[in-house]
Amino acid sequence: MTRRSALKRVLTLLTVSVLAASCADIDQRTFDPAALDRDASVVYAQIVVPSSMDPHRGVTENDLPLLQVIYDRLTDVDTDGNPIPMLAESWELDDEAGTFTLTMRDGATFSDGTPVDAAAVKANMDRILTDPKSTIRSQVDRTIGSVAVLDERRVRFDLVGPGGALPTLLASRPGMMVSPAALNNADLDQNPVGAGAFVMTSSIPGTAYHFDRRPDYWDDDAYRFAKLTFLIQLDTATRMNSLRAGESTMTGVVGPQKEEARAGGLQVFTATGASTSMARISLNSARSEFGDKRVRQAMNLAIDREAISRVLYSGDCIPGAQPYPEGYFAHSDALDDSGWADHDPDRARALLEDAGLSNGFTFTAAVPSLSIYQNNAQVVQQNLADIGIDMKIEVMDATQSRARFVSGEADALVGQFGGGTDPGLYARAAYLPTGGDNPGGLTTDRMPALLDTTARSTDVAERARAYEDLLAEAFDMGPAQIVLCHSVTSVASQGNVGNYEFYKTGGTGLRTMDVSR
Amino acid sequence: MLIFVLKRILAAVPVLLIVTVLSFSMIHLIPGDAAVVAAGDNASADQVAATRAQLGLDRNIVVQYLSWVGSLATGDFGTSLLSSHRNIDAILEALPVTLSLAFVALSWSLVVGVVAGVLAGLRRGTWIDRTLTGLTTLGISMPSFWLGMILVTLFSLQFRLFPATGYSPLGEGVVSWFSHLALPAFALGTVTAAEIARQARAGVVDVLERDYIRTATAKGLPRWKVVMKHTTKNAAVPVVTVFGLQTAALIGGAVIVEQVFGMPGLGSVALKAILERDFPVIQAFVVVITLFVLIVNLLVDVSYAYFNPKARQA
Repeated sequence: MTRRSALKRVLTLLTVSVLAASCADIDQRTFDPAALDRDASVVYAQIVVPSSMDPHRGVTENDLPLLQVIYDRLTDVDTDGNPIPMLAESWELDDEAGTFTLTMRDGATFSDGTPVDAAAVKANMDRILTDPKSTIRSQVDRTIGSVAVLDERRVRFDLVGPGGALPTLLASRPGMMVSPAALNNADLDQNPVGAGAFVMTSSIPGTAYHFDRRPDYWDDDAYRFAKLTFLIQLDTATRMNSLRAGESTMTGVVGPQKEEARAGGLQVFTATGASTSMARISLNSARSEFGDKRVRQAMNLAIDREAISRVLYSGDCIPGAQPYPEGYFAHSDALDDSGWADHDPDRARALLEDAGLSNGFTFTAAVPSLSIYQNNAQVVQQNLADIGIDMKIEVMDATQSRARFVSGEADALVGQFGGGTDPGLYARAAYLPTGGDNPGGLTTDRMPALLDTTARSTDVAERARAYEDLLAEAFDMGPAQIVLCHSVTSVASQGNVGNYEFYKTGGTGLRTMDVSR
Repeated sequence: MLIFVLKRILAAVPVLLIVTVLSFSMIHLIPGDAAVVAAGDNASADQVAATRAQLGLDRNIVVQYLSWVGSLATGDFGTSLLSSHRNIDAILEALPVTLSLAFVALSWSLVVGVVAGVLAGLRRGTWIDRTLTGLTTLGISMPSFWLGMILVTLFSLQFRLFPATGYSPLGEGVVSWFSHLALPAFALGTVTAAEIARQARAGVVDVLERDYIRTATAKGLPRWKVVMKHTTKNAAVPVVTVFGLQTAALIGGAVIVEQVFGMPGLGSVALKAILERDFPVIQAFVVVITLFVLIVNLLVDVSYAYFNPKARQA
């Protein structure tokens, strides 16, 4: 080998290495600490309008991205959805005694200077349990009966039901701590006071919310930038224009928008797996022919989930019939759901014939007037038509469609489940007769006990086994919810953003994100 | 003149009352249930029913209406169903944005529309007339949101001359204020400018054929004096009419344009309220917009009286 060819090889190797390194890092770049801009301002453009800055009275999961920067929770979840400490540094469930004891972190304060202590936890829990305007009472009142302060840092929940779900449940709204001094403020929904990393400096409700990072926040390593603005931009093109013009730092993107963002010189981060958010169709088992398990199964088998994912979501929605995505502890690997998840129109027709419906039947689905729901509905309509089921689509606004379904006036609802930090919220809504997603009251005798079992232990492995049993029962019963696919989240951003993490249970990756100079 | 204005104000009262009845009825007649929204994402039917009772939405509809109108009469526009934000505060916070947008849009459309219309009318049948008439047809045909998107693509993303989204208050500097308004105001005012130009042209053409113009010209008055003194003033009535109508339409158009340009105006307030079925906010919005339109109509009527003294006797 000559010197020139050796040099050429070395240069080629170097070039390839540099390119490979940059390509490998493009989706999850971590900057050198010296390059971080801790004074940076981040503008997050989002499509959803928050309902309230009061975590206990808000009505929609759309509030969570904002609430999470204002209000720290008692616990948090990692990217896989497993509980980790936050304001509480440890917890202990005593199932026999029916208690759940939290030990609070030392040194955390609310933005008004009030310490985050056991008394603050009690004040918050009492409010959630007794406030007539609380929208989250039903998430905890079957579990927590009362709260007792043991000492400055230890607080005990006296339980009326199994408490194993609390570590994940307290990672969301029920665990969001409001300063006790502000709990009775009439304008708490506009002037929030939490123990989070940011304090809201100004807002135009429904349009823009501005935050400054608290210098006294307990976790110096979290939220490594100084200012944060949430811009509410309902129009997709507006959000993309704002990002391309450099007026915002990042925004969520779906399907073709990812290519548009890349073409505009932006970088795109994509989650490696699906989240708990899912597209689905809910059936009212008390209406139409949906009381028959064979009909529900036939409908599942008629749907081409792969095509829906590929055509409507550009692959950013992982097909599946289970309510929890693969990789999440509540997903059951042991369950053979092929009798529900496969696309098998022949078997679907056979099931309908068994049910005495060889000529099919007609039903009406309420469909929210958003393009993605209408698209889902149209594909499903075609799939069902192939096995002789005539699905009428009734497009109406999102509120009305939900209202008609919840009140039992609609046969079916095409929609989306937003996810959550605890899988029990979905199971309760879908599988118990009192659940909001189960107006037909479809359940089994064992279901309440199985649901209780999922919350007997705080150990994730034990809970996972309990969810296997629960899902086996649910699929034996034949669920009234047809899951289409689980969303894969993507974010487009300016080039100076890195280390953006995705959470299976939803939310933004702002906590770990870096902004370079 | 004072009696004329007072009569017009009194005539507006029943209109306002009818609007309150209609807006209240429509909100309750159209599908959707605010209680479902207020009860939260995963609420059961029982929880929704409890929330409905808590919000007073289970009361007789007439009782609800009278309670609302009674509050309005005392200046209380109510509070959002979902927050403690007073409706009037939400509207007043957003009003400067929409008024700024409407002001800039109306200003340029009035100036450009009148100049183009008068020019086309005075040069009737020439290439100037044909070109301007073609442009006004084009202007009327272009939806404001579409034009807005084209403008953003060209002037914000390509040439980087104007911001693509957002709003800067006047207090933060006139240049920043105007640069944020330039594109949305152009998009919003194009139809208005085209309409005004058409009416101005028609008015000028009509007036130029009148006997008193011929007489003025025959008397030897200079052309500019004939145009400025006798033509434009008499041709102004249809222009003022269309200006008044377009002002009302502009507020509706602003709702769309504000979304395209991500502006925190009344459109955002209205859209958020509609999406959330927050009907006290929607009702307050309708009442405020109605008041605005009635005031514009009053100003138009007063201007009629200025341009045509015979109108004062009507």
